[in-house]
Amino acid sequence: MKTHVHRFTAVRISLLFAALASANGCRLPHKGELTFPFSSLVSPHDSQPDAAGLFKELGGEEAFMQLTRYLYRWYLDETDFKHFAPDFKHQLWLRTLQTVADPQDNSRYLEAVFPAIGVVVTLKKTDYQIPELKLLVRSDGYRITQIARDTSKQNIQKHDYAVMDIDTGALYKRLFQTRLDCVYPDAALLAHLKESAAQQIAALHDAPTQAKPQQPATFFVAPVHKVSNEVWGFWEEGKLLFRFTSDIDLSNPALWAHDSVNVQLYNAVEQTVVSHEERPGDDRFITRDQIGRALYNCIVLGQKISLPPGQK
Amino acid sequence: MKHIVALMCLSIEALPIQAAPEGMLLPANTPSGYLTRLLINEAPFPGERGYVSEEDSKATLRALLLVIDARRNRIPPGYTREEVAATSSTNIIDVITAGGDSNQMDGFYRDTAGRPAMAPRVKARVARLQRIASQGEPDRFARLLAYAQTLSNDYLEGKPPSPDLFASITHIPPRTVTGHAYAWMTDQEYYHPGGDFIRIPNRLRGRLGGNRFYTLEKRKVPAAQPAAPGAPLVTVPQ
Repeated sequence: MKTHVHRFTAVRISLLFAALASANGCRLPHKGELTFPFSSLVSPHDSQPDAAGLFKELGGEEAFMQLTRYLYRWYLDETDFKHFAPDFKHQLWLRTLQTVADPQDNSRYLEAVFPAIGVVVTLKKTDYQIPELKLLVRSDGYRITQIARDTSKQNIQKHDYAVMDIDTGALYKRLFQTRLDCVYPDAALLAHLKESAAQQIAALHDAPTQAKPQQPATFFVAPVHKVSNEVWGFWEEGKLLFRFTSDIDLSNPALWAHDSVNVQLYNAVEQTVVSHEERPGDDRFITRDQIGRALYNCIVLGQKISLPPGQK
Repeated sequence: MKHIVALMCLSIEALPIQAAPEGMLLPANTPSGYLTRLLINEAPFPGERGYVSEEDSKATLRALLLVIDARRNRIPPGYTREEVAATSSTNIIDVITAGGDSNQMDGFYRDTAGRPAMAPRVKARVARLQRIASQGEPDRFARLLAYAQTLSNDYLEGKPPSPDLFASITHIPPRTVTGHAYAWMTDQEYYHPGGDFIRIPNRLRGRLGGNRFYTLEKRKVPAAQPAAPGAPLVTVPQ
């Protein structure tokens, strides 16, 4: 994805100084006084004029919480909190990305960086048409397309971003209070997931365990995070993890009508390794860490359902 | 190269003949048809996760093919083909299906009779894409399918895609690298090929079509030969 930074041409800070000076008729404010919190959790760092607009574009505090809650559930570990880079502990960096898009594709992209833990998140707000399907693909918010731990100076430069301060104390408190809050798929989405999972199980030409498709299937569905636009499921008898994803919102019925969902299957027994070093270059394996996260979300926090025998 | 193509045709002629739906792609039992399906399976189409644009998906198709080409023809000094491609063969079908039961390219393997085969979900997706592409006026789906088929045909006639975006990369701090890509994976944080594979960052266009491409660390000395079977795991330095 070819990207470059789009700089907001917001009101110059000098104009703001002038306006404030004439309004109170006495003194120019110190730099630190020019921070206008636009959220109870996030405020611009050193009066950056881009920050408020970018944070609003992301979706404000609600979207920020969705993003951090998703990272908390699916990516962060104890070591992330131990290895905070102190200079960046309270910072969030944000910028828009420009891509070379198809004609009439109005999708937008944002990149959020949590420099203290070295995490970069790319988000996309889709807005394009698929003429062959007579389908408008448009999401009502940004969805995660990529998460990477790649904040080396060669790849990420602070000056390319609007910098904001996070009230980490308040954020931790909010994450802790909501750590068990779960949103499950609604009835319509659950019906689609059940049907798709049952089809996948029935199509398995080589079931990984003694479980056969004609047997009842116990299926766990992890809580959904709108910002990720993915759903994980676990078929207990087959020890298989399912990951449902798409560029179209999973809650969009048209996605299922046109069968545009990607389903990735992972055998939690055979495809698990402690480290990728065990099988360099082999992309079938995922680590026990990731399997553990998926199982925690599916079995501990998730919803247990049954797929009828032989359902296709 | 034509000689090689003829040999490859012979090697998979035992496959049952099956016409591609709507006739957009060469049959899967031809080297070009099989290769095309691998490329299509790994590149996103409109509406699918990882889709950015038609041009991005076309760049993905080219980059995927160049990985296969690198595994066949550009093993860097200090590496063996077995290390990089899990096969000593340069036959394209062998490279695609390398790894035996634990096939390296997901969904592409040799069946119990040794014939190149595809997982049912791969067949289903390719059929679905062809069905969509044949609806109404040809648009992005049809163009991407046709592009993949043309790339495969050209490649098997000795014309690999050009330019190679990753050929001239020599340094990904702090590592010196070989250039060219030798692996790709779905671009998720929890995937990494390990070993001496080096992630090509976004600024060098290492992410295409929702995939992450990897080059290799440059070796100054060849890797140690694998120990003979039964050799002790731990030895005392002399």
